[in-house]
Amino acid sequence: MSLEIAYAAMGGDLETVRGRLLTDERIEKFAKIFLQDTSMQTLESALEAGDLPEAYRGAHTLKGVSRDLGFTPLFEAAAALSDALRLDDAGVPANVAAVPELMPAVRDAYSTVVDAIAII
Amino acid sequence: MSEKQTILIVDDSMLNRALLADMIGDAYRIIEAEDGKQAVAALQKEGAGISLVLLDYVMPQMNGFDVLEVMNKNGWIKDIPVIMVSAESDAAYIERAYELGVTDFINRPYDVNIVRRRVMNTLMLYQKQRTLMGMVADQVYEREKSNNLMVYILSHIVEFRNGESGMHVLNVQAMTEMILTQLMRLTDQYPLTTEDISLITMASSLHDIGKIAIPEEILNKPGRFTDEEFAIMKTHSAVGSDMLDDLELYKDEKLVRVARDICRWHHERWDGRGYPDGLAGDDIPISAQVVALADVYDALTSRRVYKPPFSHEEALRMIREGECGAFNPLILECLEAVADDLEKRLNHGITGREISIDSLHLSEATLDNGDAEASSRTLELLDYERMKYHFFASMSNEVQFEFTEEPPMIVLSDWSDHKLDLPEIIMDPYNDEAFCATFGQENLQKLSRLLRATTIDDPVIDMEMEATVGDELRWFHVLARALWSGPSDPVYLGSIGKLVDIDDRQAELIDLQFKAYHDPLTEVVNGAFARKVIAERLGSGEACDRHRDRHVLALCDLDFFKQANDTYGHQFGDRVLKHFAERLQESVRGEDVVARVGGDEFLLCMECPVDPRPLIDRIHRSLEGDFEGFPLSVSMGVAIAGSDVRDYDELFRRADVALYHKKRGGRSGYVFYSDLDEEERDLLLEGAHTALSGIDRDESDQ
Repeated sequence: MSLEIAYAAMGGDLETVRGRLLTDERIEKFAKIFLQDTSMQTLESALEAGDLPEAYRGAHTLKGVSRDLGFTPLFEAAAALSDALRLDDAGVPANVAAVPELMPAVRDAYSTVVDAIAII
Repeated sequence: MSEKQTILIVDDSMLNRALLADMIGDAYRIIEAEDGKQAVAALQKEGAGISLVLLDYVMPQMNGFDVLEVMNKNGWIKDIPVIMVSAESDAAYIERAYELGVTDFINRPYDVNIVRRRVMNTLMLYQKQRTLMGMVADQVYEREKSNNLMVYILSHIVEFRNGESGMHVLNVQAMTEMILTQLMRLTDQYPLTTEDISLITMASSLHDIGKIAIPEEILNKPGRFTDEEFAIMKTHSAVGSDMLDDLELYKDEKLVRVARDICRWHHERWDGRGYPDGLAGDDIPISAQVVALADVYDALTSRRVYKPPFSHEEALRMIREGECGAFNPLILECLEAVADDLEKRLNHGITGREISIDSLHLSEATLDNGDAEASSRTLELLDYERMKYHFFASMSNEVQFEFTEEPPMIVLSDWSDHKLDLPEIIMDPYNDEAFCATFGQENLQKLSRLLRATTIDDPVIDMEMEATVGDELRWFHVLARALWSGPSDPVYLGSIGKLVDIDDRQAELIDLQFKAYHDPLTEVVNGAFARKVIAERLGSGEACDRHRDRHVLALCDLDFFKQANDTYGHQFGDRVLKHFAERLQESVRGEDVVARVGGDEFLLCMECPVDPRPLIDRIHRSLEGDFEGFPLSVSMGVAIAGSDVRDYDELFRRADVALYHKKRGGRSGYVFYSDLDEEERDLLLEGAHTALSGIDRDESDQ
């Protein structure tokens, strides 16, 4: 039941995740492991240090895992950021100017997810 | 497999690695790498001990493609399949990944079932491919710059679903190549180069890829198709060509164009009555014409869910007489020309080695790098060894076999082909009717038990068994060696061995034994054998119950036999003896001993009832009578083996003494040793005048 509440709280897509990951135990287990995932920290500190390739890697990972676990709002925010940071062949990000306005959405979604997982 | 296969998961996210490992499950050993450098280190350390790599693309230090490049540079990519794990769906990215040799993709977000299936399929494909391609897999790979491998895997996926044997594609390939080569010799009507033939041969593997789109229930339906099902089945040719037409990246490649023609038109007929387009004659590309014929031939000669295999001859006849389609007469001519060769090659090509070797010769001209030469030498050696093996196998009067447990399959040497009337390759032999009928379930189970009971250090067993050859049972000596996987935790992989027909030898042995123990004239056993058998029955050890287990031994002498010989000649005498031996055998039970111990003396030995007199009396009466006017008068001396005497020689002596007294006291009748008094027994202790020392010949048989 707490899984349903947590997903409702973060606006996640529990049914689809159940279809893919099959058991609630697995979803719970990895939702909790998500709290130890460091990609958000990687993203924050890389942006601060101006290390754009590393920031892209953080956003990309965040996008991947939030998608796997059905954290839909976080996935969408991270995907937008990841696209903006994506490097072309010359190593230049696609749309670095958009990053400042995309970051707050990622932070918001991230803390909502973290709060929601806490009730599981 | 008792040893778990190892999977290397390469991903910079701990959560991703844990999630993948969790989804794959406990059936595999998992090792993890956090980035490209760690991945390369793990590959360096474990080598081909790693069965599969799951590889992420975006990673610090070295990304996924960097890892693939290292794997290519070191040749690891040939042995270790890689599945890319990625959210990328960009075409250029996917193309690059395939160029670098990845086998498959798993797209994010993860789905447990998809992940498991991809992992299992890839492992299975590689295992199967390793077995089938054996030693030349690397060679084929080099030569075709990975195309062949991809084609092979792709066509194999179709076969897996079809429930066809792994041989179908290889057989179609081999046959396509042979017929095209023959066609090129025969006519220049079609502009074919060796390169074209090589290409068509490779593309022929893809002829059925459209079957991917056919529902499994229809594909593997054992019975006849309904009209509707057949209509669905028929769509596979058009679907296959559409799939290739829709390729974004390579559709203009020559291989793809040839494959597309084959896919679309391999069910067209020379007379225009095929599908899907009803093309006729040479409107059908020559590639599709040849593949169509190869496909039909292999379908006829293979076992399918809905039919047994036809023989090579029967298949040829059916094709020739137009029962299975209409073909270009020129191609049929080619088929006839290669028919003998075909049967040999398809039957021998079980591992696909010969096929690969031959196609390799064809494209040798196009090989320009030096390292291919070393491999060619290896192949020549291999070829030579095979030729040697076949030669010796055909020379010897024995059946050689190779059995593999997984998949269960036995390959018999070609001598057996003709002798045992079994196909050379038998899938699932323990459940194969003909195979079991020939060797017998029990024999096979015993053989299997013996082999499994062996060890790595002592893997050889031998046994003798009867097998059905033609209509007769013949004796075979089986000598086999179990094949075990490595020394730690050995797994039974199968066996190799031979069956030697020892029936003639066995029969000779039995005949010799018979002769050694039987009297040639009367065919009852001889004295030596009787002595052996009776001594055994009397027993010498403690096991025998001396009080209850009593035997009676009687010596029977034909009175006046010398007269029969003298008066009517020896031939008549012989007939009297034969007749007398028959009477003796008729008068006792089957397990009793009847033996000829002298000229006209016979011995009887049987279990002794409480009172043996009625038995002896009955026997005596049944022996007497008349043979062609010659009176049969019989004297018998009888001794009983009980608690006081268990020794054969003593028993025999006593019966002999009794017989002597019977003869001396007037003929016809019997005397029991136990009825003689002390004096009568002692009189003859030295044995100089016993009956068998020749009383008849010396004095009385006048």
